[in-house]
Amino acid sequence: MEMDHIRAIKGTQASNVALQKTQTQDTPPSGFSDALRQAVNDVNGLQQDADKAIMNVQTGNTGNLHEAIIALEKADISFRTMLQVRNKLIEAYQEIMRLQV
Amino acid sequence: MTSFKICGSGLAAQRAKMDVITSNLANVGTTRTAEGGPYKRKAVALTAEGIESHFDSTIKDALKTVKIEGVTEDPNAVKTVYDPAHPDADANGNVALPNINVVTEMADMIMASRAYEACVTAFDATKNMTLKTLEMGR
Amino acid sequence: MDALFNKTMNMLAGMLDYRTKRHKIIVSNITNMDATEFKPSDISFKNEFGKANTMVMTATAPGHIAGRKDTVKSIDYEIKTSEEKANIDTEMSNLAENHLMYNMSVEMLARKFKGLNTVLKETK
Repeated sequence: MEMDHIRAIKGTQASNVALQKTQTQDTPPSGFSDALRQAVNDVNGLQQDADKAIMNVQTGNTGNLHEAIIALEKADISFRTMLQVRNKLIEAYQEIMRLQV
Repeated sequence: MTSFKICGSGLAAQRAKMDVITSNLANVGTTRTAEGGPYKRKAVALTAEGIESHFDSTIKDALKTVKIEGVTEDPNAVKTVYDPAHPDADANGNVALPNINVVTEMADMIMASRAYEACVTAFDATKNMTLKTLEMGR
Repeated sequence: MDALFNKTMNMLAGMLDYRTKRHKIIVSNITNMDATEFKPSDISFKNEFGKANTMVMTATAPGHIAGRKDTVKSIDYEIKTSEEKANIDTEMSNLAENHLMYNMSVEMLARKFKGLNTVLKETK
């Protein structure tokens, strides 16, 4: 009985891995690790957008000030959100590790 | 930043206008000048000049700074008045005086002053908007 | 991360862009009022701004109500140059109105950001 359960879990894990391998950039993430990876990429993208907007405003004066401020705010908020998600994940992990088996 | 530049050019242009108007008013009775003859009424010609280096292509054509084209002299600058007692009267007693109407010059001065104030208001609005944008994240 | 910043914030950012452009044009109109042969311009949207940004909500369970279809179009601006010379009263009142609308948009966007900030700060 227990062996059946363990075999079932192993089965789903294998199919998950297979699913992730066949995914391309365009399809929405179906695994959790993919969602996390996309979120990290999004945050990185926003940080780079903010840098670009700052460069535009400061050097050569080719950008609008409000675009730079909005880009900075978006980068800051998305980064702090990711930080909080990371904190919660670690808390959850520690909670699980504390469980008496 | 473009707005500040445009406002600055407007302020400079209106100030130049004021300078020329006060010069006209001061010289309303001047009959002797370095070039000979009476002082000639002057006016400032302003043109709108496009901004080539603006980054935003959608509005680039609509934005212009104002440039002082030059100071022109009025072609009807001289009026002749009969005044034999004047030191510069000619043989017939006529004096060539500048054709400057004080009332017209005062009206021009008020207009230039109002236009200057309008540019100052535009400058203040720009500054206020910029500062407000900066405190958006606070 | 796009889900964090909803369509209202993007709409407000677009409004700020429009107000900035309009401000520059109005300032140019005021400054060049005395220049010879100068005609003032104004800027407006080609398509309706309100329709370009709507929330997308699909009904996932019976009893839920679906939202309007999402139509995000890029904003097209249109610049009209008038035939008559500039009128200082029109331009000054446009300046004041645009200024206030810009400040209002900035304030609203700032409060939306502050709301997100509050959520992040209060998370334990």
